Amino acid sequence: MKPSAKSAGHLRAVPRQADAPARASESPSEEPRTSVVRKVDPRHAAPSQRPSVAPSTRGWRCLDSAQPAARSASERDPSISIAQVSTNGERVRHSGPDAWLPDAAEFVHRVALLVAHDLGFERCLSVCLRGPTSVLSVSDAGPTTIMSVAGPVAQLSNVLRKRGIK
Amino acid sequence: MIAQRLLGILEDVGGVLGSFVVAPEGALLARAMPAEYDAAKLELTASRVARILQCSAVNGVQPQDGVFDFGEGKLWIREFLRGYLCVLCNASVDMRSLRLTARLVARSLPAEL
Repeated sequence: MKPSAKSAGHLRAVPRQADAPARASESPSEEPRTSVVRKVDPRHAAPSQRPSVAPSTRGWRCLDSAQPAARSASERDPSISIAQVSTNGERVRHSGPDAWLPDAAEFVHRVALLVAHDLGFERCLSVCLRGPTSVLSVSDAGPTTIMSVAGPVAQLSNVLRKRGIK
Repeated sequence: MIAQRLLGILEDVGGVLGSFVVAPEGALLARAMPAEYDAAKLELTASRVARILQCSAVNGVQPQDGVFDFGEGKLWIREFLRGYLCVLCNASVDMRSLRLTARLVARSLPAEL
């Protein structure tokens, strides 16, 4: 008997290498043809499931994954703010308690670029500032994107170590 | 004179190109930079650095240390009594040596420059 796609509901096993040439024509709403996948709708997920469901591209989640996907820093700690802005000042993404972060990131990035030019450099990859209790880090995340993070020193010690401040 | 001598100590750290001191409001207080960085240009740089630090301070991150990473070089910043010590270095600088020396120099800088 031939199994029908309908009988499997939202759960389907898809051959890993199948349909490779067809992928280019996939629309963003179509499922990824990689492995066993489930369409994730956070509105209908059970409350106990929600924290473990990592949002993925197109809303699909791989069921083969041995361990759950890592959550972002802001999901781990609500005291950390993250902002992503474009170089022309548009807010792409913002989370966390510091509402000032997107504007400050855009300003710091713009002036830091001028400082770089003054000192004979082409660009400024990152600026990291540490205060007694908190940290502000602004960095390039592509030609038109700026990522910034602000939060307590203890929670951002990895950022300080990476930048050579700690 | 004392400030110049203290800034000279920083050049003993491998990779350090020069240094300057900025007041919190942006004035250039002292400098020991290579000849290609003229005073007028450096005054503008100092005011820009101060604006970034002020922006951070008004939003609750009062900077004590900071790093501007330019890829091929870095500008390391350390707060002291009268303002900020800024050290320009290349990318290969030993950050640990720089941190220790810059903190020592920042602590020794006189209140009046």
